[in-house]
Amino acid sequence: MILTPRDNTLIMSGLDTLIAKSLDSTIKANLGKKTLEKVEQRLFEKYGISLTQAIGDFTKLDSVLREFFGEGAIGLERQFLENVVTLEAAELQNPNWVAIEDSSLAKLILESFGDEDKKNILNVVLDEPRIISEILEVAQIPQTSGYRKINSLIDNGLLIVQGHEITHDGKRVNKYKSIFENLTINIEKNKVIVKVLLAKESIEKSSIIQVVQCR
Amino acid sequence: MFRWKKAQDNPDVVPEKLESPINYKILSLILGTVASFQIYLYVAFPNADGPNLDLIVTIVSVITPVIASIAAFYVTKRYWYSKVFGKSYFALSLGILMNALGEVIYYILEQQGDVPSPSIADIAFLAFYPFAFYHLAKNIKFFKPKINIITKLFVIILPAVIIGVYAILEFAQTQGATTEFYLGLAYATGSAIILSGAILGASIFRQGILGVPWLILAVGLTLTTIGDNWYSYQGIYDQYTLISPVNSLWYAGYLVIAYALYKHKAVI
Repeated sequence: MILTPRDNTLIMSGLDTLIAKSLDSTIKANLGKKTLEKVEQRLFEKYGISLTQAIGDFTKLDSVLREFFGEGAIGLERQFLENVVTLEAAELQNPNWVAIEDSSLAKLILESFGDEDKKNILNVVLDEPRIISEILEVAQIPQTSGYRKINSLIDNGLLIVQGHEITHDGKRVNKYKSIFENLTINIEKNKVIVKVLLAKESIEKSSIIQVVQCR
Repeated sequence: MFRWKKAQDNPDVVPEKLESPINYKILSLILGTVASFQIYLYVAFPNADGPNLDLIVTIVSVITPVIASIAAFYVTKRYWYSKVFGKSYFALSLGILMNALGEVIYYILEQQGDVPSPSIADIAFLAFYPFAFYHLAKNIKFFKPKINIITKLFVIILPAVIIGVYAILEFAQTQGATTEFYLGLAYATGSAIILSGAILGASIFRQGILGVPWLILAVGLTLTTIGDNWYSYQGIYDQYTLISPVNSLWYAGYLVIAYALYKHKAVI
């Protein structure tokens, strides 16, 4: 079965969704458009998936990159990660603190917190996962715009699925949690530095972090 | 029943593993051509002297790095504007072109009389090393940011041995640290570092399809490194002539490098 980008987003960890945005730009910027095309072509002919979809099952992308670059795939994969985030463990005494390096991602986070409704949604699921109807109720957001904004946060990887709840009519409903547990914004010499404390689950569910950290 | 074989009889099968084997016919052709040229020089100019010998050797000495440089420019064009491949292959193409430029300068100086040592041609020849080093360092740093201790030791020990052996032998012959000693040492150091980097690069990519062009590149650079060192020894013992087989090592080296670059373009 070939996943649609939307299906894949649901399966991917939130962090992987964020990293997926840097995949093609990292390959293209460092190794050129032709290399990107070759990798995409091989990924599709071997596994029937696109580059963005491959991050959901990073071992597939890893195997293709290894076919091309051998052990050199490690450096490329680290670059995927480092283009998006840098680990800030030493500075903040917590291994899950990361600094957002990608400016478009930092902008996305800042815009989300600049939107009153989205900020409320993220605050509501900062500590515990909730189902969508509960989020809307606690955050006191109207359903129509609320669903749209929650979907936008899911698509952008800022909300991740964590567990589910069975409703009274037997339906399984996903519970959502914020990808991060805390956030700091500093402005240093005209540069906005966004640092986030990633939820433990985001790290555990991230296939790219699991693959890269195993090395 | 007999029938023509149609295209659909052999449906495209996705290979389980990407492969791009070395074409030994091309390598044989390179070695055969270089060996034939060397034999021609021995036969046509047995005393290493003749009216056109200088010109013939210079033309071949210029053409071979130019071929390799064109191949490198071609690869550069493919990855133009990219930070790693684009920049590193551009540096390599400039470095190889410097060798061709060195040959041209050397020929011009020779036509004007005795060539001083060191000369402007040496600057061009030596310029190859920083460009080639940039190419190797850029790729290695990107693809293998963390290098283990054994690899680090190899990268230090291999050039140290080459430089050490060369320095001892040359120092004994020149009876002191002369300009010629330092010039020879500069070539030996440059070529040894480049060789060590090329082997490291080939080892990083060896399990991938990119390992093939990097292996061929390492072979090409090995040939030119042997050539550089051999030439320096011949210089010390005053044995170098225009029909010396050391030239063949450079010709073969550049052509093998050109093949490595073609292979790079073919695989990725």
